[in-house]
Amino acid sequence: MKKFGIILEQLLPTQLVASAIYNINQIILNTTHISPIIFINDYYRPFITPLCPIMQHQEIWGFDAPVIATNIYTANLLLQAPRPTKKYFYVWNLEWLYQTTQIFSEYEHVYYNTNLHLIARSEEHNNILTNNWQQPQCIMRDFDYEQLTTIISTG
Amino acid sequence: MRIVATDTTLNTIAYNVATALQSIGENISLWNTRQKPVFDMIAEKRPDVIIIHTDDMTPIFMRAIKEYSNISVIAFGFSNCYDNIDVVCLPDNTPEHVMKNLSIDNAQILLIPPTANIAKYGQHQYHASYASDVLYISKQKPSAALINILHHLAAFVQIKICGPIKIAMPEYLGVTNLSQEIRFMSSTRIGLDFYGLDTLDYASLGTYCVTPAPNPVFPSVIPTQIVDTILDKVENLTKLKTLANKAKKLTYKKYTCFHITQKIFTQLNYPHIVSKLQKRYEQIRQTS
Repeated sequence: MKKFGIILEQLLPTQLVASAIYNINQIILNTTHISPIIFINDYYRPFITPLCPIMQHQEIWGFDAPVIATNIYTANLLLQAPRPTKKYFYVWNLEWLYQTTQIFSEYEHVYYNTNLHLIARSEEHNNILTNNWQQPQCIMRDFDYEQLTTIISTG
Repeated sequence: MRIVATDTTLNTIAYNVATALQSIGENISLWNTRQKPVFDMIAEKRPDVIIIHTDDMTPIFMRAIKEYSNISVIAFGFSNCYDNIDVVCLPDNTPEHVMKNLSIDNAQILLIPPTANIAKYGQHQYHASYASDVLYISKQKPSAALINILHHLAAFVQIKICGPIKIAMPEYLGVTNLSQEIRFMSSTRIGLDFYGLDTLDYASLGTYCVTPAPNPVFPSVIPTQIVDTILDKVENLTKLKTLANKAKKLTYKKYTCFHITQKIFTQLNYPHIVSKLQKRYEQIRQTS
């Protein structure tokens, strides 16, 4: 049984959470050898019921499998955890564009980090990430469960 | 020696002089003229030298330096009154008719070329992750023409933008500190300096710079030809390196902050400062 984790900051009804939970449920319904876990920071009753366990993000610390972070905050949490076997950062949003004060050091630590494998969301994001930071390992459109399964199986 | 410099962040040359003096361990204090009156500042700091921009030379300041005539004053910029000023520093491209109209009686005039702040930027530091084809450091609010140029370049080459002024483009990476700025400047193929603020600093780091501003080391480019010039040059890395190295040599030979600071302090007759500046310059030159 291959396990992996996804860190979501919270479970509020957002496109990110909807895509993540929908595709995790698809993996559970369509495969028998992959066991996902969702790690969260703030618990909120999910608007789509996940078919997998939900745990507090502190549990990443001892989770010995690949883990995917979904924003800069969760990527920083993931970088501090010693056990995950492979650390991915699914760049759902180009966050550095939306901050009022953009401090380069805050992004540099995450996006230039060689311990963190970037996953782009689209071809356009892939180009921007390659131009600004580092070449993403692959492109996965909106948590597409087939691509997610491939990444986890090969990771 | 106690030196007070006005908060001259906009005047690059005065800032370069202050940095050169700081690098030889001189006691430099920054004076915010809007917060502290001139007489309070003099009573508190008892300066031997004041470095000031002419915008800050108020009538009260002029009265103060008349009263404290032992203080040497170095003024940067244009004014209609230079009474009791010791050295006046003007840009070296000041037209003759402007020079004729200035009423400078006793002060010494120094024509200052653009200079590289080698005391601040120091050594070339290449980092692969900071590398780019073109770098723009946003230090001033961008004009529409500049934004057009940046958008145009982003379609063809790898461009990175950083600096204190936010530019609404995905290539803008945020506010950088000094060491990050040095790494960015050293790791790019071409630096784009639209306002002529960093041209000589790029040269001192061995990086080619495209700028419309007149300067002694790189040809100035007409703003409408910036994109073509960059696209023409960016692919030929060997040629770029040769030109950049030539510019670096010339910069270190004549156009550093130490050269102008030595000139100023020779005029003021402070030989020990001049020799300390020369020693520090030699040290930096050897490690560059």
